[in-house]
Amino acid sequence: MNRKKSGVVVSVVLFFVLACSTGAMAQANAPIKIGFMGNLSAAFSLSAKGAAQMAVDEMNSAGGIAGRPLELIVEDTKGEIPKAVELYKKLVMTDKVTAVVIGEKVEMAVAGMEIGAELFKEFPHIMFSTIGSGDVIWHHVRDNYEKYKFGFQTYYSVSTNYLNIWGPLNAQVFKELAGAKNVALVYEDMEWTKPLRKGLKDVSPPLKEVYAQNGLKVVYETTLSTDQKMFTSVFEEIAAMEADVIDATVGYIDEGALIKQWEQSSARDLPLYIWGGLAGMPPAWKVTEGKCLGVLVGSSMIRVPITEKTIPFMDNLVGKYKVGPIFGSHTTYDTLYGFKKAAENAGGVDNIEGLIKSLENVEEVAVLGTIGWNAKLHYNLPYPKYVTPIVQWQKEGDQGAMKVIFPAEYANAKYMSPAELRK
Amino acid sequence: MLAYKLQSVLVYAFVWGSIYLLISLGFSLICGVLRIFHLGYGVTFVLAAYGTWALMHELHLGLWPAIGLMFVMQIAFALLVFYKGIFQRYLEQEEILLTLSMLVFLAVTHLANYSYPVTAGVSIPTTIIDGTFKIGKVRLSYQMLFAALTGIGVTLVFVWMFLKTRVGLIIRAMSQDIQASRLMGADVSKMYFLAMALSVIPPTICVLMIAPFWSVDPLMGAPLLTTAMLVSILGGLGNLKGSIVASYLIGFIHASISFFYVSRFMGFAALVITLLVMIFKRGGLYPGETIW
Amino acid sequence: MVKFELKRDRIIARWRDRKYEYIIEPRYWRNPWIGVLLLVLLPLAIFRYPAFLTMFTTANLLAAITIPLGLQLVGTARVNFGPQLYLGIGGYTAALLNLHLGWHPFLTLVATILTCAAIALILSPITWIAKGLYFSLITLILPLAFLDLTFIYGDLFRGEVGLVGMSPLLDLGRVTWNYVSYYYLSLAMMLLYLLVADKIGRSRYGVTLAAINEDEDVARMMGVNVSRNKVFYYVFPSVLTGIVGWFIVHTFRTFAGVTYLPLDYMLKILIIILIGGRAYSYGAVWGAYFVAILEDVIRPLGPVNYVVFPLVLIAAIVFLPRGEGLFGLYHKRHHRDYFPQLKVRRN
Repeated sequence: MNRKKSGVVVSVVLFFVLACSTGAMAQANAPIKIGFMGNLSAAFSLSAKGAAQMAVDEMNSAGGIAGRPLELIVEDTKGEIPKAVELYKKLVMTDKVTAVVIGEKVEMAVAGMEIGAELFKEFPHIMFSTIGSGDVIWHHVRDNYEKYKFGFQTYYSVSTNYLNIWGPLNAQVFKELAGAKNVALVYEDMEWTKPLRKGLKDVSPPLKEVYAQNGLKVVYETTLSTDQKMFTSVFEEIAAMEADVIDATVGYIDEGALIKQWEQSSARDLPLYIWGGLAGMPPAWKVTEGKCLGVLVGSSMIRVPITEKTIPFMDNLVGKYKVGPIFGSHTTYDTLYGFKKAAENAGGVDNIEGLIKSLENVEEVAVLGTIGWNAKLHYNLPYPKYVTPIVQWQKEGDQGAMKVIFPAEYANAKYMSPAELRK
Repeated sequence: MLAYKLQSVLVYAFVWGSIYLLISLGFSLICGVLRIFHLGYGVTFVLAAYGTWALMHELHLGLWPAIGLMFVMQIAFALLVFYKGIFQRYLEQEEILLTLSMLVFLAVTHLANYSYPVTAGVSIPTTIIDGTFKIGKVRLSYQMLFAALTGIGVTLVFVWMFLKTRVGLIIRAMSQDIQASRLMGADVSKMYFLAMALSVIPPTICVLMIAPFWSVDPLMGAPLLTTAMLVSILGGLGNLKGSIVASYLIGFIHASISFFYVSRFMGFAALVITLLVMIFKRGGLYPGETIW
Repeated sequence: MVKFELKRDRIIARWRDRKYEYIIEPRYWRNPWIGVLLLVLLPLAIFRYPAFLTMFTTANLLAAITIPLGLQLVGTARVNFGPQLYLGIGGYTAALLNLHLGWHPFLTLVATILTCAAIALILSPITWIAKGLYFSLITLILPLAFLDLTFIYGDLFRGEVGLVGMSPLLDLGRVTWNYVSYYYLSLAMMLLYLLVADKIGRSRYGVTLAAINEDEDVARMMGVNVSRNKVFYYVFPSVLTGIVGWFIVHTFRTFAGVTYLPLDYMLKILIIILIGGRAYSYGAVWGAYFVAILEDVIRPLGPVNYVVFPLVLIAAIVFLPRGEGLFGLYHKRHHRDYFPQLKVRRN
């Protein structure tokens, strides 16, 4: 076959593939469709997807929402914004989903929200961002409610709430449990840490001042690059500045290297508190070869019954869906249950405006406490409604385990200094 | 405080520079001998870590047998996939060669991520001595020191080989003038094979030495490749002397920025200085692509 | 007054003392016109499926980045490993001016062109200063440095989140019509770039291009002003790439360097060049569509698609006619066709 004919054949085949694919995309009427978008090469998106599937399966077993079953449509954005935009359009315009759950980094949700705003008038829907603490999502809602009212953000703590609520609580933990007076602040240089580094106009001063107001002196402050691998110098400086505790607002940097190098530095006896990420995941013990002993983390990946849903959630996610409950999984699962309750309160999902109002007022029992959203700003109700305990890695036999040390009502261990733990 | 910072910069420039040297040695060897800018070099790091882990985890081998078998796998992969599969076939079409190398790197990285994602808890237990010690006012971990000394040791072995052994002299001759080497009777194919096999040794040893203080994850190849590239580019592509100087220069830049300014800018500073050297001192610190 | 003459196989236009000839030999234009027609009619089949429209719009944009890159590779006789730099410069210029100064997309286009041209002009000396592999390495590093800057100056560039909320290029009242329009606009841009590249390639400038690519010294001896040509073939394609960045800003309405500046995106563009057909402008279209469709076709495989994607591309590169790629399957190469060598390591 000569080349020209080959080219014609290739073109015809491609055309048929396209036609068949488009033909397959028929629209169903009965189920309530939920779209899920994530970067399926990333563990956190896979975990969130597992949690979403589990929530949908459980709801279907219990009769669905107002008698209607749910259908989860999963799409892989590959972590690329053009792909996220393309898939958001597909989910909303072609699949006609009622809600889009974006289970990946906040910049994808931001891109999706922009497209969502464009589509909302003709294709009313709801958007949930369930991974990412950056404030951009709810800032959009705050700054232009009419345009962005369909967007809701669920995370363990958005940056603003971290400043207002967790800042003082952290100070309390550092002072009372760790006996600290001086704190060293380490941030990863990303957009989501900016409110903590620089404060929010008319809302909160930066974290440094929050700590100062709560009786802690910040003796050192620095930023880390997301592709940085050498952290020893930072820890040596922190030790030289005589800090008593290290507060690392990091989630995306190389936490494995960070923890290993902390343990092998002059600062190894200083408690290292990490916002989230790998350090708060069960595999962190193996990944760091036990060097995370003594590290404090804000983590929800612990077997503590915050509500009656917590333990079954963790067990089922691992047992039936073969994914670990890492960050993003609780928020995705709880979001869908909050959505279910709001839909039932609103009498269904056909009236999106009514559904939005219902979401703004709903409260439902969740894995981590109570799920609901701020009526004006659409971030999930913060602590004490939604709880992310502070845990510490301690020894349990030969292995390590995360033990809750705060809040007291959920604590299953006492804080111990890293030096004591290593004895 | 100034004395402490200066001491710290000196110590860490030496330690980090030695580690960067170990990272980039194999890359320089391939650049200098095979004259290939090996954009798939990051595969070696991923295979070293995940190959060892897979052998320990799936075949239940002990650490040392797993490492030994992994070395064999590495050499086989480098020779069969890269050398025979890509380099030999596409030597005259470098753009295809580079693209295929990167695609192989991508495939191996994603395979590692698919098989053993972060949640699998991969680690390589190669800590020699745990703990830290002080040099003057500067604290250093034993493992980091061993990694640095290993970097120097491996480099010395390579330098000795190139200066004192017959094989090394042939390789040097080939890197200077391939045609003349052929005329003088060098078995070029065999030497290329050997160079390719030798090139995987430093990065493999590197991963084993740095695993106790570096992260082991499927995407670890890319930043290590970037470090190797920067060192080679700055030093002069394929020049071992240049790589040695460039490693310590980059180590010094990183240490200085880290201790005297903000560590966030370490990477950026190294990028900028490399760019400036490339623009104003064309060819890097030691131009002329010969291995020594 | 322009006078037209219709001959059997050409149209001749005369203006003052100038004469322009346009070949209309059916054999010459038939297949390209069929291809264009298929692309023009494509939305009729898929306008109800905006995801596909977006996918093909992205494919058009990828082709629009790759076509000028092909020109640049041959015209500068260097391999640029960082074409996405100007995508980033163009995109951020348009986004910042639109967001902070409220400039209309037309004005941001002008600003994008001027900014990309200025920066490309400043960087253009590397085309003759940097020998061999070093040009490629400098161009490899530049986007990475720029990416780091978007984090360092996070107040301006907004780091990983990027800039959002830019004005749309047009608003026809219904989103479906908007997306169809974006597809046609991207198609028009791609076809315009293709026409320009084709015209350059077939003109005496194309001969100059080929001469520089084959041997700069000989070209210089034959009277070609190599440095000036190199500057032009560095700046002009960079501007065209910047315009693609502008288009992305005003159609996707979000722009973040983390998507466009890393090595992954460069690899995608390099793959398109090779899969499509090395430095063939038409090959860029084939390559872009192939990569865009492949990504979507294998997505249902789940997480394993990340492993399958590079493997399929490796197979494609290995088994397609060497260097000629997909376009080589279709196009029978005539002995007079110029088939450029891309020498990464060139002195």
